[in-house]
Amino acid sequence: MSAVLSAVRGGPASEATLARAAALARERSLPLHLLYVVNLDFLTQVTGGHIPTVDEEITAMGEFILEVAKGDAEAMGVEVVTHVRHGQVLRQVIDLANELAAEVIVVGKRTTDSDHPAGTPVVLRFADGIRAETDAEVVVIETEST
Amino acid sequence: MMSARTLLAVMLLVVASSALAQEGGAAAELAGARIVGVVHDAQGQPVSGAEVDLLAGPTGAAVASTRTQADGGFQLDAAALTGDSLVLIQRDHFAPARIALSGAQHSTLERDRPVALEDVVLERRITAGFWIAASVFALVLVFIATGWLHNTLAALFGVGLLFAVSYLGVLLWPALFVFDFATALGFVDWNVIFLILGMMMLIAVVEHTGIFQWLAFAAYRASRGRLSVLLVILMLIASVGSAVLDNVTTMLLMTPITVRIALAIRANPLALLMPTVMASNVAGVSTLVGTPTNILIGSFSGIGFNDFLINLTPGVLLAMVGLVIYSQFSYRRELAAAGGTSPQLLEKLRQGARIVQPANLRKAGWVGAGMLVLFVAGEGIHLPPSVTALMGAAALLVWVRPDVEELIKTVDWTTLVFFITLFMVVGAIQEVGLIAQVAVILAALVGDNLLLAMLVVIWSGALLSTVIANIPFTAAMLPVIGFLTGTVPGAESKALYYCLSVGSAMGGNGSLIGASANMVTAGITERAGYPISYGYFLRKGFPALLITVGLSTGWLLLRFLVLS
Repeated sequence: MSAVLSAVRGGPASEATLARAAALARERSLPLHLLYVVNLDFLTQVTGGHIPTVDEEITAMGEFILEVAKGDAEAMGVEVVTHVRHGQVLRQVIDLANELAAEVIVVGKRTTDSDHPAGTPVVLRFADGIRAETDAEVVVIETEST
Repeated sequence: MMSARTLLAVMLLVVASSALAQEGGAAAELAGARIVGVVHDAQGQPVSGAEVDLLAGPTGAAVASTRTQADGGFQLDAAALTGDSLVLIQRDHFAPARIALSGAQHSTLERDRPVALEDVVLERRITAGFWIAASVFALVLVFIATGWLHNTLAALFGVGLLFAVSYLGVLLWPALFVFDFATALGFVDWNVIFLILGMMMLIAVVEHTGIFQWLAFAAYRASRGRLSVLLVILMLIASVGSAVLDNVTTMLLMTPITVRIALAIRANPLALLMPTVMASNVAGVSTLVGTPTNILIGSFSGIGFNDFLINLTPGVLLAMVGLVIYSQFSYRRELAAAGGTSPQLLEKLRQGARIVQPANLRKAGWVGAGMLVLFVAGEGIHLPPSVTALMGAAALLVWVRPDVEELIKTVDWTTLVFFITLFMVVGAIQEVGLIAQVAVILAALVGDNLLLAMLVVIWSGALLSTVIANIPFTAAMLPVIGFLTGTVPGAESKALYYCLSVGSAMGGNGSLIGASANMVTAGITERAGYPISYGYFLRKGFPALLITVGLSTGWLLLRFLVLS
């Protein structure tokens, strides 16, 4: 089994990544697997409670984001499978890629958001991390940020 | 086996009981040959815990000793007094005072009658401990503002450092002493801790019912797809939720469903969520339990639930009107640019947005209504809000019978520990006299001018809350406001406390780090692909701060300078 895998966050910044991932899946006649990772680390800075309910809510939001992305990708004639997982994004991408024996992994990076100057090196380290633990080809897409 | 959280809860109860018992034991009878007096500092604030010794005879040996009470008062048993004598009053961070008894006073005591000394003023002494406490407080603020340490860890680190210096550092240099454990514990406001705990338990039940999710979708249906109408309804829901529960919980539960609604109607979620979180920050000001800062202010000043409602709600309503108009203008392009709806997504949304525990919601509604009645009516029977919250939480939990272990997990213990340790860190700067110094400077700045004092408190609070966490800021400012309330003519109406409430809470709209609700909202929207950067929040939030604080300032000036 092989696949094209893309981690989806949603929003305008992920549109180019999704489009490229769908195009690659179509070119290679592979199913496109979309992954949303629920990670609540940001909450620990402001609250130590609430986790169970918020986890459910953000999981539902992730499913919704994947549903939107799935609709867009299917409109490009691609078979789409969605996954929601919990934990660190890099770890979940690597694990799912290995489970699927993914041929290509598509990740997006921001290029124009001055408020996130650390975005580029982060995504490059992210891509290197995936390459270190999978056999997949990693494609980094430059996207316009919000 | 007892879990760590349960153990913490038991420890809290024991410590609170001990603190209450100590307060109750303070009263004593006045009779016979006694020396009584009151000790205060140069600002007229009572000095508690000062050691008072009666020294007599040629050797100056202590024949009687006591400590000043919370009101600065003391009484010494002078029955064993012989010959010349003097009263020695000593306290850390103050220069000692020596009061020699006159011949007439000796005669009075010999007739077995009490002697009342003139009020004793202790002069502050700036020690190395002063700089230690000030530096630790500044360090805690920096750690919180930069996010280098979690809020609770920052405050815990601060307390740890203070104790390390006070207990170990003094072995090398006694001037490093800040305070001991008993004194630090005395600064913890248990009314605040238990009010927050009670409200957390209530919220833990309510948040599982799906009420906010259902309300958000109902708002969408009521708006019939008109984004400008939807925005107003969402702001109203967030306002009510924030006023009766708290704004962090409200936004934690409303943000994911609002993102889903926005995606279903192809709108920018930030156009709905930015005004909603700002509304939640504004509306919380109107009630005692709406913001942590109000809980702090209410407990310190004795301002009750009704007083907050009466004195702040009109200003909050004015601010909300201003915020709605500003939001409609600021997001006019995004609100107009919604690109149609997806029936499949809306159907999925409808299935997810439902009340999942209707029985628990009904019970929570009844208990919540009962608590509201007690919050309002309880002031007449001296029922503290913390007791109302605890009774409400207990009643609801017995009625709902949730899994107690699960419930305990959902209570935000880290926030409670944050408050306990923060009280100690702020207590340290109070103990060494830093807050008194700030109070003196502020008093000199505003003089007898209540108008100026109100403006300074509101706007310094609002602007500082954009860069430093408003909870430690408010906790540190309370003794200062207490001092100004006693010195500025007209401030006895507690006007300055209301100014602090408005400034510190509405100031949270000025920046991303200004309020916890901002940060949880930004955290969730980032996970939906719509990051809220510091710069973006500043651009949208700071004008909102100016509008809402400006309108509320107008109301407070009208209320306390014209209508009073």
